[in-house]
Amino acid sequence: MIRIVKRYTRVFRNIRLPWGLLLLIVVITVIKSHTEVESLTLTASIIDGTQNAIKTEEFIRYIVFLVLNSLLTISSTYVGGLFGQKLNLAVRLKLWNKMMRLPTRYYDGDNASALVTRVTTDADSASQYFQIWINIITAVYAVIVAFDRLYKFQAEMATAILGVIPLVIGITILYSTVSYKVSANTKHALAATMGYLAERVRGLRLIKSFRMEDNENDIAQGHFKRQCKADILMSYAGMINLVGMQAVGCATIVISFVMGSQLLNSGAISVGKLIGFYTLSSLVTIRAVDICNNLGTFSKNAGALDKICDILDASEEQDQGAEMDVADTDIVLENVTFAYQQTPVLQDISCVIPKCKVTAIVGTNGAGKTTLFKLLERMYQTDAGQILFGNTPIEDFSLTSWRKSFAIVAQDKPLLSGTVRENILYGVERPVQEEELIRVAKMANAYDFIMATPGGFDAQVGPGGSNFSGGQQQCIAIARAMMRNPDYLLLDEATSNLDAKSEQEVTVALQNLMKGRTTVMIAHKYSATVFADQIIVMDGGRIQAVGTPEELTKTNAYYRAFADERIQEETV
Amino acid sequence: MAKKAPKENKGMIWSEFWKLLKSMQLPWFWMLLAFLCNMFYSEVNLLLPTTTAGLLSGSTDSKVLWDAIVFYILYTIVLCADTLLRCPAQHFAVRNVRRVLWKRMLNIRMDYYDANDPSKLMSTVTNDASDAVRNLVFYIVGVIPALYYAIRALSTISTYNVWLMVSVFMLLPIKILYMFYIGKRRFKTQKGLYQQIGGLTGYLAERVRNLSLIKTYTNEPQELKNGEAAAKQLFDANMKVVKLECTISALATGIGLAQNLIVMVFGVVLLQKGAITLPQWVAFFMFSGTISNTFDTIISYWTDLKTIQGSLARASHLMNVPVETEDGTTQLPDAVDITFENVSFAYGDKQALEDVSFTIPAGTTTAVVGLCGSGKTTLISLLERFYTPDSGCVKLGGIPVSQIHTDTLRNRFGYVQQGADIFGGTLREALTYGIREAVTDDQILEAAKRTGFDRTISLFAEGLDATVAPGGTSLSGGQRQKLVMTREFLRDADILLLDEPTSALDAVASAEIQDSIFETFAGKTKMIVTHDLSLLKKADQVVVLDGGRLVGCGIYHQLKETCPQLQQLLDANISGEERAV
Repeated sequence: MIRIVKRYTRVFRNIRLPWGLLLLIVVITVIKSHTEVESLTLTASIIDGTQNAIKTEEFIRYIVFLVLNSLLTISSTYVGGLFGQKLNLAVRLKLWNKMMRLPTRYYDGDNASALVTRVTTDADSASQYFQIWINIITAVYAVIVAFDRLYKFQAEMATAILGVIPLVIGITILYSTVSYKVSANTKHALAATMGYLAERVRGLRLIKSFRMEDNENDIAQGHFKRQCKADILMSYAGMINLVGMQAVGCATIVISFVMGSQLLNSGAISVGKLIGFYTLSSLVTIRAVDICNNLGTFSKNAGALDKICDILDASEEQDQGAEMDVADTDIVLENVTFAYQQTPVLQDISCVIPKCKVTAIVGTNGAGKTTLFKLLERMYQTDAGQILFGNTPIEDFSLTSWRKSFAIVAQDKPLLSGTVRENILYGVERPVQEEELIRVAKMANAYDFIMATPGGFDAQVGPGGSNFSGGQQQCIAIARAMMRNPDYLLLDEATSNLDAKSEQEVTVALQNLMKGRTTVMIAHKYSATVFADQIIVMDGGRIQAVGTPEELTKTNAYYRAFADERIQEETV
Repeated sequence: MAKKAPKENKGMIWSEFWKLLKSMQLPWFWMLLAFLCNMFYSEVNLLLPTTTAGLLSGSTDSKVLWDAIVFYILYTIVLCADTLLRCPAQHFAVRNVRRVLWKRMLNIRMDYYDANDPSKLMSTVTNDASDAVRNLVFYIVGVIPALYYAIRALSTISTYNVWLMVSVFMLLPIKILYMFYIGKRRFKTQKGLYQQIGGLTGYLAERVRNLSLIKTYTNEPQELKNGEAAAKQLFDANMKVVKLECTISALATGIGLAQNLIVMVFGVVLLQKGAITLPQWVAFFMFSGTISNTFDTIISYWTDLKTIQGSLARASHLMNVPVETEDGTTQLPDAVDITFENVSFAYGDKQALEDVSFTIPAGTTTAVVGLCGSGKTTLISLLERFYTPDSGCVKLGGIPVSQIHTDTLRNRFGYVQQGADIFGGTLREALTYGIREAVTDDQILEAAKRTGFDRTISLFAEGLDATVAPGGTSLSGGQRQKLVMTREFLRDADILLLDEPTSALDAVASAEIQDSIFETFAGKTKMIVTHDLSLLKKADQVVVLDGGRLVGCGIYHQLKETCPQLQQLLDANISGEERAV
């Protein structure tokens, strides 16, 4: 419990709480617990009085109290909602801000949809925290107020009713413990089902082609069954609360009846008082249920809270360090070693990336080429060895200014949904004239097809860029990189996955982009490597050879095989 | 699109509704139990006011007292039993409807999924249907007992005094109006809320996937602003819900107040006239509260029914979508030619293939080339019977594929898709997906050697037990292609359909795999869609497509001279390289 409270404190640290609203809610609910009791007392008095004469005055007071009650309810709904939603917004933004600043390594194991849930659903749960405490405290207060009134009605009966308190506490503890465990289980089952369905639904073609419909149906049935079981358990856990509180209510009624009829017999209380007692004691029970429910939610939310805190506690990328105002220079890798989780990817890599030259990296799949790029971009940090910018370790530069001097064009050309213009200007902070946009689009070989698209620069690229062909998407991505005007350019198989004609278009755009910049390219084709100033051959996370294309054709077997592919093509 | 989704008719026709209900396999047994319990609950509930009234009127008879105590304990038990039984009924119903819908989704024809994103349809299985069914069961189980309770309670009151009954009815029209008004408003606000939740989720999902892009472009401040805008919209939608809650609360109190007043005035007047007794008055007072609640429940049943219908409309629509047929011959000769006869096909109004005819003789290799969008993949889809040609005929061994049983047909094919689809699990599971016989680890490793995937396996300490992330995202594009090729080597089908099997691989690895394909599947029929022109000379036949038309079909060396489109492709390939030089 204390641990949970501590974690909540962690979530709300540095968030400016709307204290005024919080205070207002407390005041409203305190007043409300008094008016509720008053109106119930009045009901009893009216019923009592009807045997003789109707007191108009009491009637009017009764109505006033009812109206007042409802006004208080409305205002507490509104203020409470406003308060909750404000917190919600603040927690969401805090999380999203944090998530963007986490190192890429954090995202290796987790999958995207799970992380999105942190900001959407889990943030909702976490920001209920204050509401829950307000509910609990005011419910306790209301119970005390109501009990005080009960005691004034009839001291003996009220004392007798206190006997159910241990029962209430016992049920509350049982409920919150069980519901914590069961809700974790239910969420797990739900996540499993959703994950399974989401994956299979994308792979329907494979399922059909392999005639695996029946097998997949069986697996899905298993998931549905487990989820159903978990759901039922969850409902039964909720029933502890229901059944328990029903039992408490039953006990209260029995007590008040048994004692009440005796007292009524001896003339100690009137019928109206008995009715009043009866309704007031059910109010106490309702409030007790409230407390129990809120404590249940409190422990149910602990799971979501843990996940949020995991994110908040993870260490961020550091952005201190010098500006990149020094002249371009060589980038030097010294004995760089790196592993993804436990799998070693790069081992003892040493090489130089000369300034204003083109370096091509070739090697089999899984040789560590893309990882090398990620290290250059400082998405990951080396496990051993270091990368130097001239003589300075790259970690000494501020992350922002370091990344600003790089642009990457990758095989998977991620465009973000939005217009063409938004995509080309992505990450550009200065104002850009239309002429510049057009010039860049022309250089990226994209101007013609953009103009041919209805809407031009304001055309939507569609989800993942799907309104444009692969080659066109790549040209837009190249325009985006050009707009950035980077000193260093990283090309990750920028022309693979394209057909011959698109490849030709993209190649033209790339050549414009590469002019006057230090370029490192991962090449999947011999043709892309021949004009490189330096070629690095990688194999299994190590550097096999470094040299010019001519040298390597003579000395390196892998590169020769790479070149052979072209020779084959030419001889056909 | 080819098969346009029939327009969703808003008020679903009742017959369709019943049809859907029947196909949903509701757990009738549990529902009957819950229903009986609910009836019993209503019955017991009816006794509550009279029993209480008897007590409260000052009777001190110990029999009355003990009866009341026994009654309260019974009441508690029945209430709990009611919830206890209703809950499995609801959850079983949800499970069953999910089963039915998912089975249906597995069997729906592929062309339907072109027009309807299957990922979006998934929420029909997970959310819509389950919410609707949960409500529906509640409805079926609860509506009759609720009506029963209302009628019995009213008749009890009317035995006290007819005017009392009138007083209960007085506010009913206003109540009905209120419920409908609220129902409509709530529907609208909820819809807005879901939209904004969807908006924020969509935004975040895209950005989280492309986080490295944000980092590369150091665009975190701008993205924080975008995120703030999306979250602010959700905030506004949430506040609308809060405001609606306030309105509801205000209206509800107003109506409740009026109800109380009417009941009190009527009661007190009748009491003073001596028309009713005090116990009757107390009982009536309690009844008036519960009857009013029951009215609410009944009205909300009615408004709920509309929402249930709405949610189920999507499910019912899904149930009416054409599924793949399971008829046709299972007899197919061992060696079969593949024939396309004047095949035309369009995705909606986008023509994909036009009058394409060619034959792939059994045991030979055909390479299919052409620019993106020239209809290459469509050929495979037609052969696999994912689509039906608009005109013309696709034949296997002289039999139209539409007359061959889907099992027989698809089991004949080995299929490597563009994008290399893999499901998560262990490497072993991914490699043996779709293989029904037991496969030894040695066999798997043997096959992996031929594609070079054995090197990837050896990277993992757990070997074949290593975990693959959902969708195979933990592997690189090249590794995925090697994995699915290995899977085909294991499956060892008669006819191989390869859709750009080596596009993500470097030249050396791709050459290796190509050699393995020709070596291992030497005598088998192969159809290879490719951008890699180095493969053409290994093929027995080359098919060139351009904008959905067949522009060349023959031996590579001849086509090279006669087919201008092939020459263009070759030129583009070489000139790209020369420019590079």
